Amino acid sequence: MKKWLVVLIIIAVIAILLAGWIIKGLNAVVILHENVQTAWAQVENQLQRRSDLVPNLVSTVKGYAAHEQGLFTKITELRSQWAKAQTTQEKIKAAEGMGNVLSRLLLVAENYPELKANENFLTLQAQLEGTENRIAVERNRYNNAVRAFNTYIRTVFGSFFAGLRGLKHPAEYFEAEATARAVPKVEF
Amino acid sequence: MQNLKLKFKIQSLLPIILFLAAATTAAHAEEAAFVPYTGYVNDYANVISSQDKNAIESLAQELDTKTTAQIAVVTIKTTSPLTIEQYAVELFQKWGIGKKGKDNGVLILMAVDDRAVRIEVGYGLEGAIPDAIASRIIRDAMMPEFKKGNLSNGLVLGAVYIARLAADEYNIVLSGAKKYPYAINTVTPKALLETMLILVIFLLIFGLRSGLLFYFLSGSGGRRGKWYHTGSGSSLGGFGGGFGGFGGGMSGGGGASGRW
Repeated sequence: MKKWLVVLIIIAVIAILLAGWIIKGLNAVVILHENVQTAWAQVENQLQRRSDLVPNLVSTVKGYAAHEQGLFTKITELRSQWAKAQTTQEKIKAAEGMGNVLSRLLLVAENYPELKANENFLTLQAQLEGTENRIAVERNRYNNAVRAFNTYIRTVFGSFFAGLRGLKHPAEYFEAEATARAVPKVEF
Repeated sequence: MQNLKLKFKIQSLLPIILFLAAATTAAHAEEAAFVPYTGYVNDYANVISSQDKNAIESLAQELDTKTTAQIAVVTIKTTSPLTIEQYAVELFQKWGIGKKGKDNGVLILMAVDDRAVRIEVGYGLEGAIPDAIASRIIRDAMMPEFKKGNLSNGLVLGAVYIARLAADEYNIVLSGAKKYPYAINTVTPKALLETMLILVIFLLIFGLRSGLLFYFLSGSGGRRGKWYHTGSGSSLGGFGGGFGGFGGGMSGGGGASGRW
């Protein structure tokens, strides 16, 4: 009699531990995935903020550097590209394009001393630099969240739980640091 | 016999062990050193006079006590291999400047050998201290002092302006800041008074029309689109004399930098 009871208890304990482990695993997938989503929302927030600064920046610089029309056209194009982007991939591409052209524009502005002294331009420049820094920070946090998620869903048990939750698809890193950090060539 | 064998094994392992130890310490040497905090003012590069240090500390203490907003002033030799922007945001996060949840902290960081300064603003004070204003404080108040070699004085001015802006957010006046000039935009007292008078009249009219709603509209910060925290809370007690550690606030890269 006693033996049968002990076995039963042992099985019950194992079953409870197993259930707990499964619940933990399923929750982990969802939590890590959600972290990626919220981190991406933060990135998008800052990218949008940068996009919103563009019209003001263009009109200020235009007043002093009217014949840089090519650049202005390019920026406006990229701005609408960002607005139209749907998937994460498209958004990343648009954001990077805009980042490159904006740094080109700021470089060009270095050639116009009256522009550099303009209070409005200085304000915009400060806002732009602040936004670029924020983008860098949120991008870093996003990539960390992606790393945590992607690593987990590739582990032995992680991939099992991810499959159960239908979250097997790895998230995309916001990469291409190389192109963004390279010194842009100013073409005339 | 056994002892000899063991000895031989250890002797041959020793160089390997030493090599590994050296390799790991060498790897660590590449990372930036994040200094620990000792109070509101952390002058690791030894550029702040003790008078100025006291001035900043009492101001920061007053701000903290009256509003829970926290200012940290840090000087170090260099932020290498990181940029000052990267170092500042991580240091801010490690120390947790400002109250958790409110994120009302500001870090003023100077890397003396790099000749760089940064004002890193927590999420909660981004409305009171937008990037453009932080940039002006650096450009107009701090840089002129730094270029003359008055690092200490420049830092004090920066701290004062920042503290004032933070206090304004909470509609508090800092008594410790009264003796410093308001001079950044060279607003004369007369012009200030006129503007204030107009504002007061406007507010009275507006306030009468919308009543209580007005009170709720003023005084709220500018937290923009902040969705979640991964804040690390760390309030250590027992620092004595009022500084009780930082409250676990976070920043998102907002603020401005300057190089001289």
